[in-house]
Amino acid sequence: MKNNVLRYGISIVLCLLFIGCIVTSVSADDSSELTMLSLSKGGIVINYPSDWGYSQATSQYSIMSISKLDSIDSAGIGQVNINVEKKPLEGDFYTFVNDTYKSMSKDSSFELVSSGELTLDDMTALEYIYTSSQNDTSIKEHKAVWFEKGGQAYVLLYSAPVDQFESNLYVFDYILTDIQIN
Amino acid sequence: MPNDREKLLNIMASLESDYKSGKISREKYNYFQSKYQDKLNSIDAQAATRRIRSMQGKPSSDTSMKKKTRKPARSKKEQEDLVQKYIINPKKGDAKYDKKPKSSMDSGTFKLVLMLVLVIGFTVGVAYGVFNFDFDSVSGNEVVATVEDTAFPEFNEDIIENVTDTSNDTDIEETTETIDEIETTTDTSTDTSQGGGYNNPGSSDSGGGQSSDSGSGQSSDSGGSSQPAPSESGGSSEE
Repeated sequence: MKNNVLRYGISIVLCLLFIGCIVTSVSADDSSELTMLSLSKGGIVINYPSDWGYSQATSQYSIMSISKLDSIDSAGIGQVNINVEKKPLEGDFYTFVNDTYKSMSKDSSFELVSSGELTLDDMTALEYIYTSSQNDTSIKEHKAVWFEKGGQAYVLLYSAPVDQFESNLYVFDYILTDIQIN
Repeated sequence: MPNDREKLLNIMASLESDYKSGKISREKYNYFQSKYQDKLNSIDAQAATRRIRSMQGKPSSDTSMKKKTRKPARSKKEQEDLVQKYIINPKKGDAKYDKKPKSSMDSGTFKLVLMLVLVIGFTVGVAYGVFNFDFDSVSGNEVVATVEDTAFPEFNEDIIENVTDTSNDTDIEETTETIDEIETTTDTSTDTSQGGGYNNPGSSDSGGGQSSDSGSGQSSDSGGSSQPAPSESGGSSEE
């Protein structure tokens, strides 16, 4: 009887260790794969891949921002970024947004590429794609999606160097389709 | 049942006589003695159980016991002694009761092993959780970089106006220089006319140059105060 109990106990312990080893090895393999992270601030919830990280934006209107980890330079500045901002509306939403880009057209360092409308979380949103140059050396491309909620103009801005814009655009598009606005 | 008990007592008596006479060994005697003693105890226990049940008013399947219950009840003290003898204080040497501590020991071992398994399982689970928990998903607010891009940049609308202003300034400066040249030319022409006064204005270019040089040397005394380099002015006037 005593031997049987010991035998059963040892068997259970060995089984547990075996299962633990298998699960650990499987999870170690999984650690190299991307996982989805969630970020919630200011009534907006976004899900983004784990090769992006939470960033601090210098803009006073920023709610949250994320940067692609491998795009962060030695100064700690992200080059491929998504920044969510909001600003109190001054007048009509469409006028507010159009005025922003009218001002942009007067600055030769910005060049508007395209503009249009899209649906975002069952809301009509405005999309603007433009480029900006800093010191005539680095040219970045931006995609801004604007929408109005509660008297605030929200904008999701995706920015990347021109040569990396298209390759990382899918993350921004995924966030647009997955975003939850409360 | 009483017959069984008497038979058992007779057998035990004969066993003892056989042992005393040396017919059986001590080991065999002890073995059979304990066996018969067990049986005797079990018979006594059964009888006691029946008595207790009858005292508690519970029915007994044995008809003979029913008859016994009809007999006048024993005194209370006698009943308590009976209960204590067969229920509370069983015989210490009884093998039947020796099994209980053994079983409790097995139970203790089992509990120990069970506890060991649970503790190991708990430890493995906690360690697995700690080593594999994705802390980034919880502490996702750790800042990894700074974002300078904004949808509300400051536009430099004055760039074109600055260029225009600069061009105006340039024009003005050029105009001023031109005026200076004109003035200089005027002064020079005056000097030249003075020089020409000294020389023949209708002379040839080479003669003029000579006259200019000489004139300048002469006029430097008089007109040098008005023009620091009359020779250059003279040259330009000739040109």
